[in-house]
Amino acid sequence: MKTRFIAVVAAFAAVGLAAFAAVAGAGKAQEGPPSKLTIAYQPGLGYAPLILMKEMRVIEKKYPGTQVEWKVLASGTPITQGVITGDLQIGAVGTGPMLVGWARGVNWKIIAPLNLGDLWLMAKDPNIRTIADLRGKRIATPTNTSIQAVMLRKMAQVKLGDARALDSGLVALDHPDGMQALLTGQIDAHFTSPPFQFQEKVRGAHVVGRSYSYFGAHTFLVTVMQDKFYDEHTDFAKFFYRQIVAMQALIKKNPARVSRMLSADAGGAPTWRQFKQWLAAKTPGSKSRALTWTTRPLGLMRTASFMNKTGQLSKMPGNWKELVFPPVYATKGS
Amino acid sequence: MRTLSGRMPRRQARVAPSEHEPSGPLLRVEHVRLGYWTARQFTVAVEDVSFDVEAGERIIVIGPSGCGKSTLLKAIAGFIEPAGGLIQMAGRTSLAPGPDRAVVFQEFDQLFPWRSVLSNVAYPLRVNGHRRRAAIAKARQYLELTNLAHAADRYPHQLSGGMKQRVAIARALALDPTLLLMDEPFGSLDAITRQRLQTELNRIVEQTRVTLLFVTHSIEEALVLGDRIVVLGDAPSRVIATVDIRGLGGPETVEYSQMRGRLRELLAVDKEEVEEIGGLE
Amino acid sequence: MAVSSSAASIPRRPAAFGWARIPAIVRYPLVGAVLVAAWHYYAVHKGSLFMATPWQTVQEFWHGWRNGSLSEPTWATLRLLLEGIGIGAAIAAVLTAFATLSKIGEDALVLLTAVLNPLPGVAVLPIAMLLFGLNESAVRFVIANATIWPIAIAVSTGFKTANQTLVAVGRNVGLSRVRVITDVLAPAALPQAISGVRTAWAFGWRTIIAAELVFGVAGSSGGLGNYINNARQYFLTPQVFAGLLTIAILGVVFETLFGQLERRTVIRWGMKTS
Repeated sequence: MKTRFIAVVAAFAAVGLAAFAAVAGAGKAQEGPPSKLTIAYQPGLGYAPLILMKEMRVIEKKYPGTQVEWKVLASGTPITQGVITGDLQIGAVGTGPMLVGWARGVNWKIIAPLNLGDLWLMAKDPNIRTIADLRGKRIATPTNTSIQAVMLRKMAQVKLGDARALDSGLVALDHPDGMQALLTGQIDAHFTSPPFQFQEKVRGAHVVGRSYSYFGAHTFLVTVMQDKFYDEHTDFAKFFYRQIVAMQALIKKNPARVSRMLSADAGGAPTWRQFKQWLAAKTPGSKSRALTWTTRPLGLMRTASFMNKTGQLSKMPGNWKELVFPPVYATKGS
Repeated sequence: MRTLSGRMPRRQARVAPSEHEPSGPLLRVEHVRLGYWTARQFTVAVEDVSFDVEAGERIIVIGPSGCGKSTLLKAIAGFIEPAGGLIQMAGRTSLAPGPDRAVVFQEFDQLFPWRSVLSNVAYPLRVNGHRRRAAIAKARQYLELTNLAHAADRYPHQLSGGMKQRVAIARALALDPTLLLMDEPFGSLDAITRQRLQTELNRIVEQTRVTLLFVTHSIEEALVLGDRIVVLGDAPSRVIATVDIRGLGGPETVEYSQMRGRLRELLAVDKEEVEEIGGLE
Repeated sequence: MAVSSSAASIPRRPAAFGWARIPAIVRYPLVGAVLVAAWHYYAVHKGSLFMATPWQTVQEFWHGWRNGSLSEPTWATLRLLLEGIGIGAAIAAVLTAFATLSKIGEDALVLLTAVLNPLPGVAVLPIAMLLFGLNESAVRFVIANATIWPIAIAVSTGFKTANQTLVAVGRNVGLSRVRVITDVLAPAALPQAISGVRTAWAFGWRTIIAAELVFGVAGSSGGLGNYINNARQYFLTPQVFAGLLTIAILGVVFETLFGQLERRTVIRWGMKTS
């Protein structure tokens, strides 16, 4: 009876895992020219260069034979998974998951950083003014490996002496859910990004901490692709990089036109005026903007080294160039 | 068996219903009218039935299929309220179901399948205020009375139909009912088992001196078990005769044959198929 | 008891070839071994980012149960699940009893079941988060909601199809209306109730893992779903598989427990054939 039970358990477990394996292994990287291209990003202002490329159809104009598909996914995890499985050729992710993937042996690099971003830790309860007030509170970040979670640990290390001091209160919520949760009082703090941090501020929340004041200016979002894709389609990858640079320049040069396109992409709401205001939004108590549009990566090594110290990153890159493709080399990053 | 009869339960010990009203009968059924609602129509099953049951008597209610005799028994048990007339038990009317009129049903699945045989008999005693040990002791006593002591630990689904009915009888008797109601309890049994159980029931009734109201459609059964027989006609039924068969001889006697013939005639008044109604074993 | 096992009563038809004649103790491991081998070669072929090999999985499983990194989330999930199901079962019992005692209660149950039963457990999560905040109570609420309806449907079906003779016997021996429910209808509905709880358990399992994946609470209070999600974010494939292995084993364990429960109750009492 007992042996038979164990036998059945073993058989069941094996069947279950074999079935899972079959599902998990369904996708496979495609080869040949980029006849089909899928690019994914998340909701947020930081992805503006990609939205502009989509709206202006720059890839389609240059490569008419390429079938381009854009996907907006609510969370970063499916994007990283998609790039790994080859379902996505280009994915826009935060620096945190990019570094974690790289350290785990994912053969990907940054083809074009999208921006530097000052990320705000927001709270609604007026009694929460400092990082120390957050002990034992519920704090939402997009994922456990997100750049926001990394920055929160940096804050905890600086202010509380222990990088993991706030970990027990971490809740994983994507930005829109996190904003709703903060405004309805389900969580105490939300470490988020533009434009959600602006919206929360307008609706009564205040800034408890900013990533720049703990980390200096740092890269926020990057676009990644697999090494194999870069090797097979180097010309296309270089074109893509140049277009990101062009879009960033456009945002700086003509924010009104850019805002109109972003609003159109969002179906008219928020309005273009709202987008224009957001693009111009300044970091509190400073003249610099919350988002800086540049392909120059900043703070990659600092981020990696901090994640390495807190145990989030199993190995360190020798220098920042190991993390990016050649077109980015010229930017003199860090 | 000798050791059993030595420990014979005395139903008179706890309740002596006849003493409530020494003058009147134990059960009085007067001009009772019974029926049921189907859609918006009231269908009469029992038109007008009257009879009395004295304490210690064995009354058989006999009638053709569908004459409402089971409905009448359910009304006496308190499951159905009469549409007219009066059912009076030891001087009380408007009766709710209760253990003073314990019922043995025709269905085999009247035993709780999740209880052992012993527990099926003991549980109703616990409900009625017996302590655990007393209930179990009494249950064992009645299982011995019905020759089921060996099956006390079995579950109902492990019993034959006849055994199940004997458990039901033990359960009902253990409650010390003022009146034991039996609704064709042997109707679903094969002929041989039925005859055995009839004999056994006679013995038990004699030993316990319980007042019995027994519903059947079998003339033979009525003659074997009864003191008096109330004969009902076709639905909507009335009493067409009440016959006293106390002092009647055994089946080999002439009086017995004559009585059987008379009952057959009575029941054939409304129906042709004498054989069927008579329930020739 | 003597009559409970069906395997003995129906002899297996002799098979044309030898496979069925091999004893089960050999057959199951053999099938298992083939599947494990297939899994291993597929995992090696796909690479460690996609699939963990059986050996890696077992190692991680062992490791995780030794040092608590896997056992703690598992216990946390089970505790929350049991609490949620407990609350759900209690509410289902009250609702069904109320529905049995009154017509209004019956109407209410029919209506509530029709509206709330089709809602997937996770779909209720946003409402639960608004009502209770982002904490365990929200998860309990979602699990309770996922378990109330299958149990209530099963038990009220059990009540409705309960043998009326038994109800009559119950009233005849002097049971009150409430005690007829607790002492007659409830045990009579036990076969349906067990299968209802079984369904509820499966619903609850799926719901809690999904809920934990949706708002995985990191840190000390995280559950199994969170463990898997976290492992996925760190690309720790062996941990993902160890988590799945845990779920699979727990599934088999609870199936066995429910089977035992049935064998000791409704099958033993002849209310359900095995």
